[in-house]
Amino acid sequence: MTALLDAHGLSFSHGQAPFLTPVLRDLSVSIRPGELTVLMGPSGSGKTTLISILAGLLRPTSGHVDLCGERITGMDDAAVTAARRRSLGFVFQAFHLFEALSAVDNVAEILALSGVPIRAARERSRELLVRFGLGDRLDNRPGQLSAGQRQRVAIARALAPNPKIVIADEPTVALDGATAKSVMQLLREYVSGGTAVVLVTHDTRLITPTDRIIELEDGRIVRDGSAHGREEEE
Amino acid sequence: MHRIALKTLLHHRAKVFAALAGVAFATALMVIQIGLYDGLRARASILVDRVGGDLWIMAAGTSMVDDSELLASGIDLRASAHPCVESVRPAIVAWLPYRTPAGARHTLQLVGTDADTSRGAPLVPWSMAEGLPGDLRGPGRVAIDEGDLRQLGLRPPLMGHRLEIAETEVRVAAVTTGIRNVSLIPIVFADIVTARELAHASPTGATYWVLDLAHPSCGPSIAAEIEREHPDLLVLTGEQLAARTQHHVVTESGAGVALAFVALLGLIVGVVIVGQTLFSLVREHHKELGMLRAVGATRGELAAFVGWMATFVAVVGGGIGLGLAFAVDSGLGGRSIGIVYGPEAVLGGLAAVFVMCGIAGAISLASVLRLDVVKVLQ
Repeated sequence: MTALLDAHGLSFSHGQAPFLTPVLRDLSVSIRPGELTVLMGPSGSGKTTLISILAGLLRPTSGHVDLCGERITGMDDAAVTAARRRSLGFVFQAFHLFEALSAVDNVAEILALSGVPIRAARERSRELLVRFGLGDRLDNRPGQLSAGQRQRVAIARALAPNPKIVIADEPTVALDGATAKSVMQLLREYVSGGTAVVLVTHDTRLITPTDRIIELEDGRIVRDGSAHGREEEE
Repeated sequence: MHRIALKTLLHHRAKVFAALAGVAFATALMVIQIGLYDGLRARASILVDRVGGDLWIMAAGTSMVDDSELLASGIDLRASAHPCVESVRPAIVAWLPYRTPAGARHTLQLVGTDADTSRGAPLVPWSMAEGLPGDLRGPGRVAIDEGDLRQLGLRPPLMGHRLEIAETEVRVAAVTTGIRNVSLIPIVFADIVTARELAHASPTGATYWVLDLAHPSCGPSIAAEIEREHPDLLVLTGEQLAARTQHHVVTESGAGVALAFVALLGLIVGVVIVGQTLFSLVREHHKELGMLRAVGATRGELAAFVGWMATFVAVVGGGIGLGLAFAVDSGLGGRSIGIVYGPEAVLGGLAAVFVMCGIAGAISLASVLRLDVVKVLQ
């Protein structure tokens, strides 16, 4: 199966020579459709740097990234931005919703950025939020929603443009156990539909045996395999 | 992006109010200053504009129409002998002492012109409240402006009231309204015969001779000829004298610089208030803007976020400011020294508002364009 994200020989260092601090060291990874990849590792292991490079937000010191068959490494800023708009969705730990916009508009405005007329965007956003159990909160602003509801809106926002890949950075860290599980359930539904999800988390309770786990340590991949295999090893 | 920007802006009511108040204040200040500047220029040269004429003969070294001296006799006769000269009109502009009925001594400006308009000369004075310019014909008759009553120490009814100018008694035969000079000193109109008597000029004397030409193209040669024969005289077109007067009043008196300084102050205040508001709004939303960038918003779209906010503040604040400026003028009524809201004042004020919001927006824009998405999303 063709990889949606293909990174090869990625290295990244902070600072300037000769005082370079390596963050990623010659790292390669492929993300395929319909795959939930959990990125794990201790603080400072390079998880955030890796997803930033995979998303084209950071340029690697060496190596390259192909996003849906396009080499985004070396592209100019406008081309990388366009590639991100076509293929990527993001879910953040802190939601980053616009406080002035309703739940519907927080989702719809992202669709409108992709060129969808605002009425159609609102219609699609409503459908998505109803599906995510927020039918009675459509016109509420983020301040009127619970943390779990806000994260659902953020996930709806990420999924509304039908991205091929969703990058979720600690999306459940601010949520209680039950809410975290329901959020993961939503993401898994999309994975089964062919979307690839790259999830950064420390919470092993959210992992199922079929998930792919990539463990980073000191900027290197120390393990890449199924959660089932990881359990057996342990 | 305009919906996100405007809803975000309006969500922060206190900040929007501060920004709009700042822009409105700055706009009103700037428009009023431009209006005062235009009003000052218009008032400075109003005598020249109203008396008209193609050429004005005056004493050499005259810096403005109000700064004049009596000319030697006979120039009018020589000028009228020129085949291109249709008519020569005398005018007297003089500062004279005045004694109020209560005995206080003040100064007033006397303007004397030929009240006989049968040869096509324009009506002076203009803007009559009572009587007609022709009512000034006859000895000892003057027109005063109803705005000068307090300074002249008079009370209505004005018609027929007796005044003492340059120790000569005169009678109010007409009343004007809204005529002021730039110094706000009372202005009194009289027929040339009365004016000569009050200014102690000879029966053929004048401080200006105003020439009406058959063809304005003769002007330069006539002016050169008169100045060659009379080195103590200066000949200017009406436009030149008006411009010279405006320049003197606006520039050399420092009034223009003072007005420009206040307008600049308004601009700076506006830039600071709007800049501070937009900057804090943008900073407050760095994470959301970073999110937009991450999901594929271009730098141009992020710039539009700031652009829409700045435009809204400029349009609404500018509109309120313009309304305030007109309200101030309306509130001052005839007491103001003259605010003229011509297209220059309105367009200049609005242009200044957009410059102000543009500069203010640029500060925030720089912070948006330099946004480090990875950092703000961490």
